[in-house]
Amino acid sequence: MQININNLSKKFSGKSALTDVNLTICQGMFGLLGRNGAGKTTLMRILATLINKSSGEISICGINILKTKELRKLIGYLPQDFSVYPNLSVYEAMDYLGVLSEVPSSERKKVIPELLEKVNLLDCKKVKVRALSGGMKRRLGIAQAILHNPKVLIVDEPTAGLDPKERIRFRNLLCELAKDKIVILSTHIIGDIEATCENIGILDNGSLIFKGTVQELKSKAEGKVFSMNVKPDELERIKQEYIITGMIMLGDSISIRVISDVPPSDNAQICEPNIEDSYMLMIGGIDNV
Amino acid sequence: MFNLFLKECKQLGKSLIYIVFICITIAFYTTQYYSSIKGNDPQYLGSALLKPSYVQDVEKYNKENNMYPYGSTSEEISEQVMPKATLMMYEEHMQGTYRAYPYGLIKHVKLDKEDTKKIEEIISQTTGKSLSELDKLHKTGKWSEIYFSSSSKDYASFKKLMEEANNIIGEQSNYSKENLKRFGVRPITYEEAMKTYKDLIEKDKITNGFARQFCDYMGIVMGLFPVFVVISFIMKDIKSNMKQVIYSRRVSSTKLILSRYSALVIMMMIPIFLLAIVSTFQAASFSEKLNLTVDYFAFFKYSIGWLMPTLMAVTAVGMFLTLLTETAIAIPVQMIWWYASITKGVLIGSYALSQLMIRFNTIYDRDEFVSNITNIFLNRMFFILISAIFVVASIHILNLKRIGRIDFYDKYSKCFTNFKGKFKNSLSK
Repeated sequence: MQININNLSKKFSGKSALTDVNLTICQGMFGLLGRNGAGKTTLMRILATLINKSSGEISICGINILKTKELRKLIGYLPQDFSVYPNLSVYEAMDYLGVLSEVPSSERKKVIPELLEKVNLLDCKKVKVRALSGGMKRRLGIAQAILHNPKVLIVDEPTAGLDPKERIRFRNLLCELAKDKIVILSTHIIGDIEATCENIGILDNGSLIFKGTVQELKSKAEGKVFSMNVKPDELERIKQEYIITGMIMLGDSISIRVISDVPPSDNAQICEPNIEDSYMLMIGGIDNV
Repeated sequence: MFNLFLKECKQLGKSLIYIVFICITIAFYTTQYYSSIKGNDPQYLGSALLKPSYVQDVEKYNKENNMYPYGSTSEEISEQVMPKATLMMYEEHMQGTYRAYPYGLIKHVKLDKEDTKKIEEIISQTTGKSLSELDKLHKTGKWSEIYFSSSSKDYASFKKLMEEANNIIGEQSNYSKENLKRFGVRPITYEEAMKTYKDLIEKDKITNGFARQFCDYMGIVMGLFPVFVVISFIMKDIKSNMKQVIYSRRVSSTKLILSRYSALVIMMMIPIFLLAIVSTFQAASFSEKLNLTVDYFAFFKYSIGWLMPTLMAVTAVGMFLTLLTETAIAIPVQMIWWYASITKGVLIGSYALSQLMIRFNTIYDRDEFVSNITNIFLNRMFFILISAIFVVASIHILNLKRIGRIDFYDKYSKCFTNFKGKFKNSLSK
């Protein structure tokens, strides 16, 4: 069970959205990182058979991407801006989408309450979709995406706008699902990836600039992360020269976290890199975000 | 597929626009059909269900009651057409404006000097008098003294002159070939009245005649208002941001379109069927008083054969345009189509393939209906075919959008979005 992407490119009206992407995604959680407009949603939509590729090859569990009919049985998709007819109740929405996924009536009756329980929405099954909070809607989104028990779950920016509690609940839910599925999580929230994904890919300007494990990404910044205290009037100069990934005000000085190939000053101390440092290093600093 | 169809029906049934559609249909039924048919209750003298009683002297009856016993009908009677048409032309000439009815709308035509002179010549030729002589006769109320020869030769040359006048004034003036016969009126005879009665009671079993008029009125509703329901229903995926969730699912485009299309057609036929039941009971209650029998299925037969093809075509075209453009472009398109059909057709007898709504604005004239049945059948079949073509095209469009094998959506939706943006900007300015 894996997804193979070879030399994938996508152009919109002559403008490249994805350029020569090569990637293999295996069972488990896969995180796709990248700033807004990096091409994450385009890649997700291509995998969800919603838009065509311009060139390259993709196979999902051995099935060519062009065989949409077969693939739609295997794929569950939660789009970035998921919504359902507001006048339907939670159960009605699930039932309708179940019919569209061609889940038999008897199975729907069994599976829908189970899934609603899993996403903690069983008590709200009669509540209209319009009355759900953002977090509840996302959980409903996950429930509908796995209604037909897909092998591949594609989740596009699912935690954007959620409060920390909802975000953690959502991440845990995805991890549970990844036990027997390929779950592709696209996000620009690094914390989500760090907490859930073994393997990650970073897209920047339509190109895949990194693929590997979280540890491999962290190691990219090994020996390049420093912390030091600076005076406020020095900050502008340092910003021009280095990538700053953290900043804490300490009375009349500022403690900063800097990425640099060499120690930026005598008082700079080398630090253990985190995934955020490595990500910033990969995409070339905050000015590029 | 039946499951999906039921779910679509349920969703449509709950929508506000569908409730509004039902209200419009009922309002139209009440104000148009019901109000015109209720006079046929046998308790009223003018009821079509009452057997005509024989009147020996029709003219005497007319003088005493100021109406003919069995009504009157238009007929091209040269003795009546010539003086009346000429008088109208003279009066219009004096007023300086001539009436014409292109596309069913009244148009006041003003002629230039040259054309006015031509009309004057035509009036002089038909009456054999100069304009000053005619002025005198008109002022002194002696117009009837003008002699018109109604020999076939003279009438033929009169018609030629009228045709000439029609060409000068414009399409569908009072002097056009079709409108000329309206100047002639004759009383309906007892034999004709009896035939009409027998046709309605025995051949049409009352309800078949009533059903034709029912379809005539309800066709006007079905030719326009369904498009609003269709647009709202098809656009709900876009409005609710559900396009991607639905497009990525296993259901085939054929199944999805056919379920939605059939849900739209069946649900919009429901008010028609309910009104057909009401109308059948109404006709049955009329007939019971006279011990007459009715065809209980007439309203349903006519609703399905007559109204449904109109509804199917409007729904299919509306669905296709909405899917294609993701805008409400189908509304102006349907309005133009509806308007063209309603103004082009006459109340009875216009069954060309271009007629979206076919009309038969009477409960009588069974013979006229029977003589046109082939044309009506062809017309209805044509619209069923149109529906099928647009449904297939809708499936194709949805397929293309779902699989994204062409950039159709990107190109055209952007084009429409840009247009909408420009339009909004220009409005805000």
